[in-house]
Amino acid sequence: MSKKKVTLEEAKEILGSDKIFYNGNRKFNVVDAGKYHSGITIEVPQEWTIDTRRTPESPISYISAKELTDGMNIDFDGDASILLGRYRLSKNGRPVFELTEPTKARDTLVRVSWGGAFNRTRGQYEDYAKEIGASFFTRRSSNGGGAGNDYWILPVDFVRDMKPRDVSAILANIEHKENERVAEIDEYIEQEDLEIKNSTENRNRILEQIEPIIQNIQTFNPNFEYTAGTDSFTYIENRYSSSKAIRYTDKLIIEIAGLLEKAQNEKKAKNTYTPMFQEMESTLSTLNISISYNNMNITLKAPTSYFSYKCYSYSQRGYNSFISDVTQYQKEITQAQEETRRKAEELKTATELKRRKDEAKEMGYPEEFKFWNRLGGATNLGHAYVIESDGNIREPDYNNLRNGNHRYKYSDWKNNADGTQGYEQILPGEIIVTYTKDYTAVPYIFNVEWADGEITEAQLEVICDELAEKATFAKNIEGQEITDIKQWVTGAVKTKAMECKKQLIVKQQEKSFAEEIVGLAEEKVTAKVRNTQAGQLAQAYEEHIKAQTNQQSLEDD
Amino acid sequence: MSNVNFMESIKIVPDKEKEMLLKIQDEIEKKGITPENVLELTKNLSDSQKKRLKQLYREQIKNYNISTENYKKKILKIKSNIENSKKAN
Repeated sequence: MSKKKVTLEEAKEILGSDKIFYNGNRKFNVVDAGKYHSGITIEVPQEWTIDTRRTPESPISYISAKELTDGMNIDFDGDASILLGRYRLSKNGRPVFELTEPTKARDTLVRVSWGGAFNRTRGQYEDYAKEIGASFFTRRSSNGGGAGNDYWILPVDFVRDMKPRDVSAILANIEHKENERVAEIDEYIEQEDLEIKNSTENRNRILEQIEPIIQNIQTFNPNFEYTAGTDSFTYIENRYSSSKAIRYTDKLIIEIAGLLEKAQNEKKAKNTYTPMFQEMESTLSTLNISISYNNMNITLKAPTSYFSYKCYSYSQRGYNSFISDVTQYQKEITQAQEETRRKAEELKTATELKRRKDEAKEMGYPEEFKFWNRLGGATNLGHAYVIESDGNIREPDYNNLRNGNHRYKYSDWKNNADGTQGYEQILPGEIIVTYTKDYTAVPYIFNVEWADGEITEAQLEVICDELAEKATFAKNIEGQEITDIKQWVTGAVKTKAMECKKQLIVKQQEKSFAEEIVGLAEEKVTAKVRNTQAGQLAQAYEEHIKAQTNQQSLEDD
Repeated sequence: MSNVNFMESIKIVPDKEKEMLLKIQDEIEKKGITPENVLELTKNLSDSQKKRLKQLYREQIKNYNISTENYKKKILKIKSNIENSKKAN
């Protein structure tokens, strides 16, 4: 029962080789060819043992028999496994190893695997094998010599440097183990055959009992599918589960009844939890999420792929998971919307600033203002405040750091780091107030660099706040001591504004003059071109008349 | 009046300022008629020189327009003569 006669084709397929031939003795000759293989011809019977799936197993199956190989007193230097049989040379002198039952074996074909990753074994060489007296030896290794197999053929009772030992018990044990294994397989197959027989006999009776239950199941679960095979019943609960096969026994009836109960419970759960999911529909709608009520669960579809691989069962767990995911999604959407709003606001501010800068440029306001910035330390200090009419201190448009490390030293390095800072365009209504201080012992020097009108209350407040402390030891650029910061800055702005307004007027005048000259220059070019064209046309007419006159006089002649 | 005074009175004195203004006009046309170029080329002119520059342009435009009108009249006259001679034949 547990053996099968295989054909040559089957043998080739199972062994994965074409080098298999009938030897005319009801056996196959298998040439063990290939990298790491022995090169020996192995003679195998045509009847092979089958496994529990009733598939023939290859008879060339090395086994570990440490009791046999360790007792040989040979340093194989690798992992030894064996085949048992009889060794001979063919008519052509080629080595042949015939497989036999263990108790009938005379020789053993020992395969020693050595080397590989983290393995220091290296097998043996021919000299050693000859010295020992092996009937056959071959070494097959990789190109690099780091891994390979040695093949030895030795008598089963071989012991190096000593008399042969009695290994009959060992061989008997090996055979006994193999027979036990085969017996287990036999038993299994026998059992299975019986089950199949019983199942086939019970089929109609069992089906009669379960078919009404199945119909009932399908009213609750339309996705339930089944196949009533000859010796087994196969069903699949839904598209998420795998199929299951059961023999026609009373166990099947119990299982099907259980499935009905399960389907009923699932339906009940669906009825309980569906209203709870439905309550969330308005929230889902605001988030642009659609909901599908499937048989086993609910699924969601959102503009992003957030819910693509998620589903929620009709259970408390499913519902909790649903609430958690929807809340998280809502949070992420809100954050994304905030970010979009913030960016839009930033863009609006930047666009507005650009517009104001373009306008200021048209009006002739200064296009660049640079200053030395150094807030810390005792020497060479400097800073500038560019303050808009509403009291806002505008940030510089650029800064060239003197010390690149200040970028890391100061969290607000744009304002605090040492270096030249600058504005690309001064805007209407702004005032620029600067201070410098050469070293500790000298006072701060305050100056108003630009103003185009009177200082506003907001600007005054900011300047007084910023310079209050420094004003205790400060002078103006004329060298006069500043005793009252408010009084100083108001006066200085007024003076500066007169000067700056004149500048603006001059710039406007220059601009008007330039525009007028441009108009006149263009008009001159146009007039010149028209004049040239008129002259050319007049000349053409004159030449035409001349030609006509000459013609006439020729005719008269 | 002595000969020397008379000779002096009819002497043609080069107008260096005008020459300079004409040169500026050429430069403007060469570099491109833009406000930036105009500002750059006229930045050192005094107010009276700027005024004279504008006047120079206006005169030149006027002269070109007069010349163009004269050409037009000439063309019309020639056309008229051609018409008359055709009718005579």
